[in-house]
Amino acid sequence: MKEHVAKEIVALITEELMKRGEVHLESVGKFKVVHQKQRLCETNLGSITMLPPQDILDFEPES
Amino acid sequence: MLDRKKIIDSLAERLKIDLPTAEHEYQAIVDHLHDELKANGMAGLPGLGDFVMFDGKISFVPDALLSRSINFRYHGLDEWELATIKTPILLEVDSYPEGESEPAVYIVEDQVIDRAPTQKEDQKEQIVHEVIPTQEAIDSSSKTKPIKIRVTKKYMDRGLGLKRAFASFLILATLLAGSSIAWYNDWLAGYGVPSFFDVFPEYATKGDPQSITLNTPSIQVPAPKPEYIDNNPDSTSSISPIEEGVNPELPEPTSPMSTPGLVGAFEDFRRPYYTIIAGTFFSEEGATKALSMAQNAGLRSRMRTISINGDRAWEIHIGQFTSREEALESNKNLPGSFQSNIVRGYGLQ
Repeated sequence: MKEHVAKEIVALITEELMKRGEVHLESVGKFKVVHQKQRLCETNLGSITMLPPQDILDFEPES
Repeated sequence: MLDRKKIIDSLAERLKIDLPTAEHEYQAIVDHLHDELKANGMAGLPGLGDFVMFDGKISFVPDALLSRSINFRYHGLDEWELATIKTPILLEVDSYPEGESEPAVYIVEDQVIDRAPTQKEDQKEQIVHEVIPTQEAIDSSSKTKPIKIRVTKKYMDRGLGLKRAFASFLILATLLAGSSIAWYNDWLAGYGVPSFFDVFPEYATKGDPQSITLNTPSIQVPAPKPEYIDNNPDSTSSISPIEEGVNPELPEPTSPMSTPGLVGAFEDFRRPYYTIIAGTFFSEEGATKALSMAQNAGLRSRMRTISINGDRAWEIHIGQFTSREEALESNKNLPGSFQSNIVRGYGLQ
């Protein structure tokens, strides 16, 4: 595996995901960005906390 | 979607290589990942993350940098604690006793508290924390290493809770007694039996036989009068002018105003005109302030005294126009604080 090629592929994938696009990596799976709204949660310490919204990565493995 | 073809095209462009070479390089990376996964059950690309084979399925753990890059829109937003139901106290210490992977935890007591502890309780709490460590914990921490102590403590003012419950019960009982007496009175009346109020006339009130006078004095608080009235055209309040400031000796106007508009000085307001009602005030001081603001802004404005349901109020008129449409159009050009959708005509036949 050539490092500079791997680096370039990672950069391509990151750029696409930052644009909220989808990435299909052959024989591995699909990546996409999912938005998670802000939400309330009760921690096990007993406090009610407002969690901020966030964009997270969703990975769907190739069957 | 970024797929095989697009990745190869971009690789060729960025690395300045031809397409077959780019395809070969890309295939080499994919094959490497696939082989690593099959052989070790794990494979990774630095900056992207790690692929893990688990139960025949591939799962992915993204690299921290990738996660941060994707979440750049919301990066830096912190969790916001809204309320605390219990009041746990966590005493953080940097290191744990040797041989302990988890911090030693001491539950001090299980009181229930529904309020912030007082200064006395705070002092008491400090003493309790110093006293409690168990023998097991002392043994494990005998090498003078600090111990992480988590104390869970709940408070509740039981006395205050009982008082609240008693007050609620008292109010409920009073309401029930009142309605029962009224119902019993009606029921007796149906049979021609003397009612409760016939027997105890001192409890009867004039005008409303259903109501009961209680010993508690009732206080009637008049509704507060707002200083500023929102001009609602659907309002049912009766509005009538009190004074127009018109000199009766002046001759009656015969023609509409000569120069209608939003700026300048107010012309003889006995002439027919449409105007924008920028605001209505119950306080003359407030109205005067609003008028001076309008005049300072160079707007053609005047203050008019009116009566609303018998109370004196002051309207601020802005502009003189020959038609309602013209007034509504000019309203759009007004500064935000003077804009209003109320347009009235004065002196019109």
